[in-house]
Amino acid sequence: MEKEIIVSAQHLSIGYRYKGVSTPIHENLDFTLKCGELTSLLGPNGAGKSTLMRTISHLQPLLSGSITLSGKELSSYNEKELSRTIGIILTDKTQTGGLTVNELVALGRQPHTGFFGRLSKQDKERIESSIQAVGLSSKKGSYMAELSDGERQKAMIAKTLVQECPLILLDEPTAFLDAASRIEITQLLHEIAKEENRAILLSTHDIEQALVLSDQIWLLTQQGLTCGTPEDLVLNLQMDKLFEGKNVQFDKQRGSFSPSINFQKEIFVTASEDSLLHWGVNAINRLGFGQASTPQGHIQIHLMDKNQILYKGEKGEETTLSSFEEMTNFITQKEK
Amino acid sequence: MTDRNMKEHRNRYYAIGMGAVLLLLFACNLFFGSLSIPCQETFHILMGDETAKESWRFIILESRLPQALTALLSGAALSVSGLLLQTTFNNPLAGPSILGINTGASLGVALVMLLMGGSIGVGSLTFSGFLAVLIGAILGALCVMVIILLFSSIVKGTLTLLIIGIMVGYIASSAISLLNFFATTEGVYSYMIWGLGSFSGVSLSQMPYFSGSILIGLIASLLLIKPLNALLLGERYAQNLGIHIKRSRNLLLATVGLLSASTTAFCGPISFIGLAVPHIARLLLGTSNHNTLLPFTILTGASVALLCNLACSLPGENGIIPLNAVTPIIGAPIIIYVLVHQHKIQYFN
Repeated sequence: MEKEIIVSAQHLSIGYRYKGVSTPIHENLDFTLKCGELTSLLGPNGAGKSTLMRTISHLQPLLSGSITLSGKELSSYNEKELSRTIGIILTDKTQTGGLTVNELVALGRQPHTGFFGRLSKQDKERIESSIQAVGLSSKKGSYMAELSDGERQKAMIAKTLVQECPLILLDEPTAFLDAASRIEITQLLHEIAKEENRAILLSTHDIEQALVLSDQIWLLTQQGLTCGTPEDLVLNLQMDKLFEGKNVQFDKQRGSFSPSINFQKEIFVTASEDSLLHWGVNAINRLGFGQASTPQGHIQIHLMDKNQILYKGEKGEETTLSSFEEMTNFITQKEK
Repeated sequence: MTDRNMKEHRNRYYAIGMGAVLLLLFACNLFFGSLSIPCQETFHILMGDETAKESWRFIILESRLPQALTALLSGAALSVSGLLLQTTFNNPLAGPSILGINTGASLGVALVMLLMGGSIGVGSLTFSGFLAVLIGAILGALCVMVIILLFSSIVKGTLTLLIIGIMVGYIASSAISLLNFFATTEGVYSYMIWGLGSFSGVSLSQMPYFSGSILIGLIASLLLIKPLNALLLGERYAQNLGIHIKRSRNLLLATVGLLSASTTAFCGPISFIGLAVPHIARLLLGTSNHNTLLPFTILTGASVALLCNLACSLPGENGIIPLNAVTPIIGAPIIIYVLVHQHKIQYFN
């Protein structure tokens, strides 16, 4: 089944307009967002991620081109319609510490309630089920102030869910979270996109997570926007565009960026299994050695086991080492 | 579910409790004053006994009753102004006196008084005089609020905005001092008296107008509960929830203007009630949800003002303590408490 396109942009130009003078940050952007997909927007600081997000959420006017939302021009939406179509999560400071999780999530119902904001039975059920969906049922009576950062973010996600918007935009939702919460939140968003058939666009600096859980990746750089599935972008070497000119390189094996160093010397490494090899190379890279492709004329390291490391010098001398710490100390010593 | 029910029960309990305190304090304000009148006599007079001593009747019906009503309404008005400002500016330390709004209203009053013939004092005003003073006060308050609003879009820090508010307040009070320089001696004297603050400025015949404008403001604030709750999330979130930000903020500030200007025009620039009462209400109720917080703030504000008014008449026949000498004694410790414990107080985090 073809996924429904909810947002599409043609020849979009974004940026700022001040006293009639437009200062575009990006021109000629074309993209689509589909229901049921999690899209991650990656880009270096200052590439215009927030400007793009704000433009799509209509918090900032576009300069030229068009954005179509659910088949209708974005600019033709009024505030009420927008509040039922786009739900946003920002990094803004809120004053919600004195609200319970329940009360906070109920705020998301405002686009659907009347003048006094009274909640119907259906509204309350929707709130209940959204809190359950983000896994905060046991905390629904707790104050927001009593939650961890990750739980707060989940409550905000629940707030966006009760808004019942087909499109959810999140500006760096994992910025202040620890590693475990980051994975949890991204995983949660991935599930929500799929199970509730929503289109979710999030901006993030967490490249590894984005590559694992996103259906689509948007790379926004000074040169423009590149869209695609994570695997295509990685294997077509598109990821290197992200930090062009910086002293980092993308390791397509590991799916992450690492410092790019031109190694003067090389060591030949073999290992009994992949994770040993990975960490063995990691250790020699840190010591300033590259990985040699042949054993000839190089120091050799054979990783039989994490506690059994065979070191073979250039002249053939052999030493057995019992940990990576011993190994790194030994190589450092030798180099002196 | 039980958790929420328990909270609702507790809230109802607190609301009933505060209502009882309010009634008790209102009665105390009628029964006790600088002149001691036997309780039995007071009761008879209140019941409409025509045979009581004429001077006592006058004191109770023409002085204590309007004063208690004024305190009740002003306390509610100032507290609600404070709450609205704290939510609108996303700043728990905002308040009508700290942001210079009361001073702006004072400047408006001073200008009107000077234009109307020199002396500043609102004791004996006709309806048109009342209206002129009220409009002057509202315009003065709105001017200050517009200035603060302009600055709030430029400066980001909450503390910076408060300091700008204090500075604007200073400028307004300089302007008042300059006006006083050109005013008559009696004018300056009555302005000084007015500046000390008192709930005795509204006579029984002015009461319908005074209470009318306050009640309009209070009702308006109750109608703004939905946008107020959305604003707890900040402006951009509120906008995303379908709130018309500009319109809501203008309505909120107009309401604050009406409430704080009406009280300032007649009772003088009263400090601390607007700043401290929303904190008392939040601490007691344990919520920032305006559905319950706003009505509770009205009750608490009215009670606190009645308590202050009672404290003013403590010296008995030796005179009356100025209101602005009492309100800081109640208000300042609460603000200090809140600041010291801000890491433990939910609504601060």
